[in-house]
Amino acid sequence: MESTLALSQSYKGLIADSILNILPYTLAKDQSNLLETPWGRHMGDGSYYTYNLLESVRQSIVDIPWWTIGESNNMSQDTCETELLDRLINGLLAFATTEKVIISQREESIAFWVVSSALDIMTQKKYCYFFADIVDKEFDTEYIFDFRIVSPSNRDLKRIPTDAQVYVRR
Amino acid sequence: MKPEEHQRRFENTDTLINEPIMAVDITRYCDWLAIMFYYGAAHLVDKHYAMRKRPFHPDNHSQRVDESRRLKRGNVVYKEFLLLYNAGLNARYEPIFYDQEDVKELKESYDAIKSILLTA
Repeated sequence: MESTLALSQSYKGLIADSILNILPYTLAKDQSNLLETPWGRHMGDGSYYTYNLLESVRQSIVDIPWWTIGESNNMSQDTCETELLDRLINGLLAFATTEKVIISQREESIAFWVVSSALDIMTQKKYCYFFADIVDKEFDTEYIFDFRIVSPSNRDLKRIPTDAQVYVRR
Repeated sequence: MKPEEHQRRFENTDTLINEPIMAVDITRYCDWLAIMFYYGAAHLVDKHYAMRKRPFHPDNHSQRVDESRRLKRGNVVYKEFLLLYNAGLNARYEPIFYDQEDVKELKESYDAIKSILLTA
């Protein structure tokens, strides 16, 4: 668990950040009604070397099962708190219905979204009891938690802060 | 609002929850019942926040739910309230429809909160 998150928080985050920086260009490229993106070395077949290179890197990153976005805005917890967050994240990811766990932190406020393939009450109950037990026993009361269980189509997911951390189930 | 006003709001919601048409084993309005469970519980916790020497009036649902950890038997209230909060929001904004089994579970959470906070 520790090694997985350590890995996630080091190079994957940095790479993902870099990809985010080029993403607007690649997205623009995807729109067929636009002219060829005018940057990079022209390859003669209408494509651009730099664009193709970055696009292939982006694709490889997307294929990594655990990935994070915005790791340059690292959480500031000490080691103990980071381990507790790891327990929460890994515990939530262990549920068979979990597709993603998304975390956003602003100082002492930490928001969790669990994207779940099921939203019946027993499923929501399992998530809530697990989350509440760890938060109640392990975290100091100065932290303010928000915890939401949502479907993959939930519209709020489009408004997730850009520096949120996203963990995808293996 | 003052504690007695929250109490009145709670009683109003609780009365509606206990109308025959909302009985958990027959109701056709499971989504609304889920929402009412949350709002009934919300007025109870808000009442307790308002009773403090330094009254706390939450700005939003996140604050309201998180603060329930600091109530009497907060470990129980928090997890049940967290479930009602999610269930209520999902009843309104997600493409799911609860059934009788779902609302029976939620009623247990609602009753647990009532039993703690009405006697506190």
